[in-house]
Amino acid sequence: MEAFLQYDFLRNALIAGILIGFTAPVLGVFIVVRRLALLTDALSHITLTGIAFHLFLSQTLSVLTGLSPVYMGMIFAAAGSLFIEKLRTVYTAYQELAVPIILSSAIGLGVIFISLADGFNQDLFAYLFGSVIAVSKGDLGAVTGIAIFVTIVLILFYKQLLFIAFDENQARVSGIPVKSMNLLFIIMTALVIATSMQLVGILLVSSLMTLPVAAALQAAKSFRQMFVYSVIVGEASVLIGMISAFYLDVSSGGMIVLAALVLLLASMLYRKASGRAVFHPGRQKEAAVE
Amino acid sequence: MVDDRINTMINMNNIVFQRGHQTILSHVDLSVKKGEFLGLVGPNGSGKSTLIQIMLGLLEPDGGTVSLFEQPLEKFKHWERIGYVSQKAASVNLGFPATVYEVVSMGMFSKVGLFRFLNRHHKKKIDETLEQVGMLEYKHRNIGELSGGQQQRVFIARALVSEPEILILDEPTVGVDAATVQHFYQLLSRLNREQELTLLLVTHDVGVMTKYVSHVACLQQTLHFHGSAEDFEESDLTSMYGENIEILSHQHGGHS
Repeated sequence: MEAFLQYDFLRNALIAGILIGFTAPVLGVFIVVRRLALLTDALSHITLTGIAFHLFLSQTLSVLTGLSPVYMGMIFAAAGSLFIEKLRTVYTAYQELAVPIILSSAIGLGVIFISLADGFNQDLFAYLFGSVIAVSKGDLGAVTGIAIFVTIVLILFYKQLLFIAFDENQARVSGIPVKSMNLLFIIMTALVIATSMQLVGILLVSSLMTLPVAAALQAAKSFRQMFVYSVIVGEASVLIGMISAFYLDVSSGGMIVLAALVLLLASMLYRKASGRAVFHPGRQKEAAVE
Repeated sequence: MVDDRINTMINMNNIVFQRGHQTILSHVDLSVKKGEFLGLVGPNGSGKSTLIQIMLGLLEPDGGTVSLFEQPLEKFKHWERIGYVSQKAASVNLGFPATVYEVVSMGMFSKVGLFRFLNRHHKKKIDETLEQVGMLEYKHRNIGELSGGQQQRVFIARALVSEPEILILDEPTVGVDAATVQHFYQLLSRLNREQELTLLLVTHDVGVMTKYVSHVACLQQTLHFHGSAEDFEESDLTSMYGENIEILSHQHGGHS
């Protein structure tokens, strides 16, 4: 633990990790209850396309070499999120179709950029699976800025986002601007994913949005509790994962996911021990009431 | 802001709606006046839900105009005056981790405004509304733990909590057992009489409904009957339902 306080780069990573351990699960709660968990995968892959595009461009444009590829990743993720929203309105009956369309096009484009650039190198590997040494001071600034942005939006629009997540049509009839709220939310998600990927890795970032929420679903009795439990599990996963990754000298993303998985399994055991079933508690009681 | 003199709450004029080459609604005129308890009936697939969705601006009609509280739909802003319980509510995501209180508080949002929070007055109103539908003791229960009938009452409470002047219910009794349906209609009838709440109830279940409503409208692509419940006769239905009328009126216990 001392090493994390002693070295600047580790301290950056630790602070970024704590911020991501908050923002990712909090957005994840809305994503999971809306059954859009796979959306996070699509957005993380389009971030990879952005990163690869940056690596490709920086070969010819020397201006870009000093700049973090994260910004290009953010631009791609935000653009991709707008495209997903568009697809969801075009294919209203097949909303999940947006995910494979974006996911495969993102990988296709990404692979082209990667082969046009250097091919796979150490940098890219760090982006794919996460690394504690990848977080620069500038990156930390981006993570902090986005965490503040997410917090403000959630405080202001919690009511609207909750209503939309529960019942989109009802929300619309109540006069909530559903379209703009959805847009705001998906852009926010894209930005969080793009900034989380250095620590957790592109291929693993969706886990930080879904595993803590899955664990919270086992114990939460209200929507508010969902946030409390998700953030606790998210923070615990990030801290346990980062510190153990550093001392064991393995990928931080892998250890964070592993920690989240262990916590998820623990929550499932807790649920089993306390004798409650998840997802269909209404059915068994249906006959008994009234 | 709120004009009390308004008498026609909903007015739909010459509504046409097509899906592909199929005509779902053909030149439908429908109005709901203040204080009415209107039952909109028609067999499955007769366009009832489509009509409601057009009424609420969720679907765009191919022709015709809608006005709410004597304002054109496009200009209408006072959504807190309308309570809506959708057909979907009967099949809501049972795993959604929200308490009864949280679900009902959603109905308050249109009244609270964009950047405000629920205050003590709002919270008291939520309790009162839960009491009104007989669900106060379930306040802290998870919505998924309740039976279909109880969930439906929670959704009614959510629609009522913003004190709307009209409540629109789209097939609220689907998947609810017969005894609960009876209670449910009694509750609606009481709200209509005691609180002067205007009601629009959409159902394919003609049998029980006609005892409680003040007016009936029969829809099958176009309106076949629109008048007071006393003038409504079973024979008005045969043109729509054909011989299946008996079967339909007994179907209210199960899913359809």
